[in-house]
Amino acid sequence: MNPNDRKLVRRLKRRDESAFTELVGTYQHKVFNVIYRILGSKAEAEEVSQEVFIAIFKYIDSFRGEAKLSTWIYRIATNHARNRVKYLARRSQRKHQDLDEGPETANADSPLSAYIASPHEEAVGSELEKIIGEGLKSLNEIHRTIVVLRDIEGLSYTEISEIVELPEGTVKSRLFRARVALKEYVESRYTEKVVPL
Amino acid sequence: MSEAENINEEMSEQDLLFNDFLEGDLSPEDHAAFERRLEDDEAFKKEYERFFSIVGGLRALPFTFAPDDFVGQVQTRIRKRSRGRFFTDNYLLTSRIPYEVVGLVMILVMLSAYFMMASPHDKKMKDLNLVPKLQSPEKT
Repeated sequence: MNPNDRKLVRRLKRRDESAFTELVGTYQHKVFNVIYRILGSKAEAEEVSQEVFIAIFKYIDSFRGEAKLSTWIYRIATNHARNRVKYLARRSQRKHQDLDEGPETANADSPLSAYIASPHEEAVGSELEKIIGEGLKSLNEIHRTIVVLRDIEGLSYTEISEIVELPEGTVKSRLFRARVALKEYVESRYTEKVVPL
Repeated sequence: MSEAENINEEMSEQDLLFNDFLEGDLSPEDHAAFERRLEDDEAFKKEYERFFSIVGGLRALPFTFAPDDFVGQVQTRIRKRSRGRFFTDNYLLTSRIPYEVVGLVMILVMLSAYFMMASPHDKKMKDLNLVPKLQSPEKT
């Protein structure tokens, strides 16, 4: 843990409100983005992200600094998101979620268009982005979490291994399986829509 | 093994190769051989691009920001849940004073009131506490 994080944790343990504001300010977007990508719903992501920060303050006294502060925060965030996925699956609410919400919708300014040249291909890029978002939702919660942490957040295998509490080899094999499943999902969707990939 | 199973097996091995290439897990020789094959084998290149489009697509998904008032929302929720006792600045103002302390203070107030009332306040009336000396009858 770096000295700045150590100082911040000490202030958090003293229940210093400015430390709280600093921590939420630093991590709010990262936590929100990870949870949003795992859950696929902004409303759910907002609710769960707030719960994550409450949990961080509740359990800050138990943080001993063995891992990086960011790793500990990611662990709490992904655990909350995974629990919410299971809870939503149990209640079968996922099918009622608003599929039109969020960045999966067609967007000409999408970063995916960087991969795309022509207007036709741009439309295909936005379509791909939407289908990838849906494909993520089709993965189970651990595969989804690993894909989000690796391919969206760009974390190392070591960090992911600490976050999801699985050996690095298992993380690698699950990431591979998740990518293949995602590829198959995308290809099946493109076949349905008769859109060339 | 049927033909379909063979194709699946081959595809899976190929995907594993693509995955290792993307992750930088190939040895320098295998990496060079992979790049050569990409240049020479059009079908192989196409398959790799399909695999890469998924990983590239994931990496290119737009970053989603938390709402503007997120910090305030979390603060409100923490204050509500802890009834304002979480943050140190507010603790003394909002925390409940224990009944034991209230009881002790009351006892001290009553004791001091008792002692104040029991002792005379008027200095001139101090003599009232003294027993008057009686003159002996012989002298008179």
